[in-house]
Amino acid sequence: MAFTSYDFLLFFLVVFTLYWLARRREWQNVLLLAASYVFYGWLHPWYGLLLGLSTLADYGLALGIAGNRTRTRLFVALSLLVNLGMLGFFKYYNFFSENLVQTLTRLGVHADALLILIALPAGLSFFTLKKMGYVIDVARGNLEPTRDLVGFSLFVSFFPQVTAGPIDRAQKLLPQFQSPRVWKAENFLSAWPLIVMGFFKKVVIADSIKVIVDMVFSLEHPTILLMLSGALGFALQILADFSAYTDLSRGVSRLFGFETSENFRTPYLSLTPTDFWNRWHITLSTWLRDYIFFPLRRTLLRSRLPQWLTDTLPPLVTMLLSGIWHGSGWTYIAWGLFFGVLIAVYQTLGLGGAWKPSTRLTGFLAWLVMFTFIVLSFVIFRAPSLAWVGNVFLSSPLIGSHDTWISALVVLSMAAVYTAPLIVKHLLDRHIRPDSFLHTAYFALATVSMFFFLNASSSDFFYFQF
Amino acid sequence: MRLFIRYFITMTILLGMASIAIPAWFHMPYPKPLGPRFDPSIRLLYQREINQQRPRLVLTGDSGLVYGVDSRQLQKETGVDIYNLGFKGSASATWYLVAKNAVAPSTPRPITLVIFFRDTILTTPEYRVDAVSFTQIDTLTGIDRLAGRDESVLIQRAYVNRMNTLEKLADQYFPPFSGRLVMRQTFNERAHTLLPKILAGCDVGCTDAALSPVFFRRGFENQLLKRAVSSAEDYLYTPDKLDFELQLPRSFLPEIVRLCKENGIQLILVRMKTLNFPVVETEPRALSEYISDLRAYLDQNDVVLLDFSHDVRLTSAHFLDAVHMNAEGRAVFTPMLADALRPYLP
Repeated sequence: MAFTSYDFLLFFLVVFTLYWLARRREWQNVLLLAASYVFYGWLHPWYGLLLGLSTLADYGLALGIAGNRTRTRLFVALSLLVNLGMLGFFKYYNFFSENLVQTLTRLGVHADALLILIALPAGLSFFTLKKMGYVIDVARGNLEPTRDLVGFSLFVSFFPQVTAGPIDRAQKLLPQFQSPRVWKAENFLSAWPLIVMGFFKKVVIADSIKVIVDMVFSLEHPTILLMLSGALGFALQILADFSAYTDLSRGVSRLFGFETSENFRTPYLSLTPTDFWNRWHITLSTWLRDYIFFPLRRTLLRSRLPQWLTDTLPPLVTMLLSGIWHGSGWTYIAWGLFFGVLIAVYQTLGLGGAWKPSTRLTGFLAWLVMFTFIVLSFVIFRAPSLAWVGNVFLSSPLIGSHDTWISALVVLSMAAVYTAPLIVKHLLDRHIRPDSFLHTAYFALATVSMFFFLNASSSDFFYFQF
Repeated sequence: MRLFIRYFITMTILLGMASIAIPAWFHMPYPKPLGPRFDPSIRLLYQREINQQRPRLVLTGDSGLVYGVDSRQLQKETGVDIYNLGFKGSASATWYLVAKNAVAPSTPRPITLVIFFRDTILTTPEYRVDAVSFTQIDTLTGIDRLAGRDESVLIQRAYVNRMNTLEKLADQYFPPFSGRLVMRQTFNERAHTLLPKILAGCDVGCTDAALSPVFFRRGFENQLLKRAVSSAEDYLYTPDKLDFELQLPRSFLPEIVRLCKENGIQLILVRMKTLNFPVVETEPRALSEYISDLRAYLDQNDVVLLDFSHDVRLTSAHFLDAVHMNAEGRAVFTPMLADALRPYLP
């Protein structure tokens, strides 16, 4: 069920009313849990079964760790096996089966029966990371495992987060689920701007620019300029789409009295790749940092390897895993490696996350270089295949004919027009007092424009596929 | 709270102004009739061509037909004149319009109408009637080219039936919603031409002329097509779409059958093979039950069903993606189709 669907509107109204009528925390949690499973299993009820069974497994394994510390490694290994096994099967089966059938066909063996399409349950990658983080934290002694099965299940399946995050930690969410909640006007007052912006960014910006971006990346041989224009459009689409989802998720959570994490802090103003990952999909990058980057770096430091290896391997491995997490395809792997190499090179040059430019000009140049890298990374991320990217860079003209030049200008034009509202919002937030009428007018105009952009079938949020 | 109240009042004023300005500016009736408005003059292009070419067999379907059947070879193998009305990205709404506005009123009438479909598409009337999904960007669905003056059945089954009460009310009485298509089109036209106008002096006509050969006539990348196709296909396999009895009265199938019966046209339905369920063992039970119900309905109405969905002569090597055949597939499938059609041809 998508946040932008009528089904969700009705679902939300029912759950919201019953939730605040319930008053007692225990009943509120049971209701939210039931609602989360209805939400998650709306189209495919068996997804709910998968979610439930894997939740029970991690709930039991975490309690097992606390009950018998000598077998911590075994329980953690079992949890990793369940979670990574599920992720691997649902995410990579189609990728491997297609390649296998192609190879067998070339050898004269018909194996079409292997081509069963395995549908990836929405949100699997997100709730898997939540559960793995929980078990690892319990194993490390950073967190006491909860005996509250309803609370834990709700932490995993909480409907505003289950399909595309934010990937909040148990330390943040569980205490909130275990505390009493009473309705306050503050819940609504902090939620409505997020909800308006979430709808506006999804319905007006992301869905509009998506059309032309899809067209560019579906061409067999676009010119280099056309491809880069498409990548610029995609940079806007993915930011608007994913931050819209996060805003809606946070807004809805607030209406139920919960504070959840933000995922974006003006990422395209980053000056270095580390800075970018501190501002982009923040809950994923902090997860990767805490459970992969730091442990790996500590292990390498202990093993007394040369410093260049201890400096370069952790970002490379972490970003490679980030790429694999995003999807089954060589483009995602290359995209992850691209950022891994970029972080390693920047760090070697002394341009880590804490780096600050000495002058405005240096800052501007650093931003320009980093923004170019971001757009190039999105070429790889969005491209249909690596061969496609290679062909365009190696054999396509830069500008091409008059028609392709004008087409590239059209894409750039669309990107510029649909970026403008985000720039205006950023400037308002930075320079105008929060109680100014300009903020009011912005939200009102955003709401009115949404009516013009409503479609009977808004496309799914981009990150649902991961 | 003050910020919210100010926001609410400003928004209400803006919506009120838009509700007055939009109908006045775009000459929209108020209240507006439900559903989309088509060109009021019926477009007789295809009917005229059928009248001139006098084919005995008309084929219609989506890209499955366009990619999978070589009409010239089929004509040669069957010895019957064929007119191919395949539209990439089309679905049952377009095929209904083909039967109603192109085949039934033509003189002389073709003897046979062959519709190519896959799985539940024949009873999913709202599928592919808006130009919003990727698969429709490169081509029109044919609806706007085929719709005539009175399309109450089309509007009801493809558009109005899927609207909820709120949408129906908004479509009739709330101009910011009902006028959204024309507003969006106007806005996008300006957005498209902003930079081309400034940097290259290129206006609306010039940009349209430039976009057309770049985006609409070039080859599309297979990998991307694959992804788009599989995501669009999911829609056909939800539990309600697999419920034949539920979907039949809402669909265009009874109308197509009726039109063919009343006009003495033999209707043949061809179920195409896809790689979604390439062998019978991989087909979900619900889909098998659906097909069995469809078969019973067609038998009752003397409609021929040719089912190639699990034909072992077509393998994954014959496909570009899950639903489209490649040149080799077309070369294999066309004679198979000719053999299957021959007993039913005059």
